[in-house]
Amino acid sequence: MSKRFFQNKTAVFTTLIVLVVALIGILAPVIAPNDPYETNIINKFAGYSMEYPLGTDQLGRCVLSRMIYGIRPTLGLAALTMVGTIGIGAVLGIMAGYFRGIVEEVIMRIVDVMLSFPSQIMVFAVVALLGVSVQNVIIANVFIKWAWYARMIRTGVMQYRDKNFVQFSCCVGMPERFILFRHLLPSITSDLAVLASLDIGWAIINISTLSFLGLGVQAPTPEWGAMLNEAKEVLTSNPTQMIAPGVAIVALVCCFNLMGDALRDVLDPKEVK
Amino acid sequence: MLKLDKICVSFRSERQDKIFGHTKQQILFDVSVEVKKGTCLGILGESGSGKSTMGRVLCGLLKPDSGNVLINDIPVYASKSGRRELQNKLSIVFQDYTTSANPRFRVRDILREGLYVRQRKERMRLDQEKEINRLLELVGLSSDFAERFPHELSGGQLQRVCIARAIACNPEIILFDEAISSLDAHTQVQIMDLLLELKEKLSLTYIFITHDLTSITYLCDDVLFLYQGHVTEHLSVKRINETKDTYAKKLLESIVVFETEEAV
Repeated sequence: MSKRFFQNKTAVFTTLIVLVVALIGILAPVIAPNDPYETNIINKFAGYSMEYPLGTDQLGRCVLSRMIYGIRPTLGLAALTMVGTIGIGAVLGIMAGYFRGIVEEVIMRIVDVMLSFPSQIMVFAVVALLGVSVQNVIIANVFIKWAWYARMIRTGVMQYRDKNFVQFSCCVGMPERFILFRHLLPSITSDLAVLASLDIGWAIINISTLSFLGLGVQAPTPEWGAMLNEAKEVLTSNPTQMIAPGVAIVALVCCFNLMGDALRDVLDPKEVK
Repeated sequence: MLKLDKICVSFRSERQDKIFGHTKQQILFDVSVEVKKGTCLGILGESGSGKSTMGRVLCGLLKPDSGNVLINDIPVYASKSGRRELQNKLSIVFQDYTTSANPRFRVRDILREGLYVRQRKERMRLDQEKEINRLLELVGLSSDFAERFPHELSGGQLQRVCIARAIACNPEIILFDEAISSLDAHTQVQIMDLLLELKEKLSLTYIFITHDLTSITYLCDDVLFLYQGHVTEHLSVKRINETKDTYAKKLLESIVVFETEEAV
């Protein structure tokens, strides 16, 4: 498995980028050249310089430092959203797919209800109900997204549980634990990895969108979407301010999408080199 | 040792006349059969005759609507211990070898699954490496196959691995669900020879589900003809020419043609 991973250039490259970005985010206090919250009104809209490599924004804060600190909420919250979504989705999906019968009916009807709402409206509804905060954005995202995963995982489990190797395990009386964790889960991980890495891009955009609309991460906290929102306000006077967060979001989301594709190739045992 | 007593199986039809209708389609009608220890029973029938359904009932995966499955006089579907008894005694080899093995497992892991069952059953630890090599040798594969993935094996080799896995559980009965039908004629003969050899060595009982009469005459002691869910004939292979069943006759006729062709 690891050998095939290292042979796949895209997988290695994209994973490396994501890891480096995450590391920069973790080491933000060490790396950032300036304090992201320090305002300097006199020096606002400064161009690119040694002191402010990406210039300053409308309040004279260092854009690069804000970008670096912004990795934490952007990437961290997206990862948290995905962990929550996949966790809930996997448990319910496997239950529905493996046990069938009444359990499946109940779970799938709830899923149907969840899927019948447009996702953005649901997010707004949840945020409006619980109040504007980061925590609620995560809850809202998990709340609308788990149903997709539950359905996907159920389909995967159903597809594999009639395969002969599972039938054999049932027939000779292997414990259910073994069937679930050694046969079914690994079989669906490749689909899951693809979907998860595609959707982490979705989560980043979604959190950024909400921040952009002023519903997510709140004002002084640096977050890429929120920074884009601030840049929008000064679109005419300082158009270059939106380049950094905009490019960063596009690049990171792109990276996750490519990683999804590459991971599918890596996790598929039949992929021949 | 394994006995079916008046088994009836039916499935709910996909197309119902009413919205909440319960129209059922019956697949097996009063199927009764007994398999004695050390013998080989062939179950023969055309497509859709209920062979595979019967196989699923036999291996404990499908509870029949009525009737009893008994293993050593213990009812299989009545209790958990009955099922466990069957699980400990019976192993299975499938027709479609492409899905018989988890594509993520190496041959080593595939066999280990069977060994795990044996360890649990016999309550002892096995030297797994040694056992895996022994099993591979038993089915005529060299030990370097242990590191391969299923897609790196040919159909015949993979089917051998599946047989090895079935034997790894140390069963008393092995059920073959069209296990050799999907192989070419030459490999079929090889596998059948292997099966005969294993049967002698390990004193196994075989149940063979197939639509191929040649393999039955080659391997089995008894043959059971299944036609649209009914047992039409149950007789020993030696007297197969005396069959009165029309479907069996048809099969016999086709086999004669096939053999003369091969002779030329």
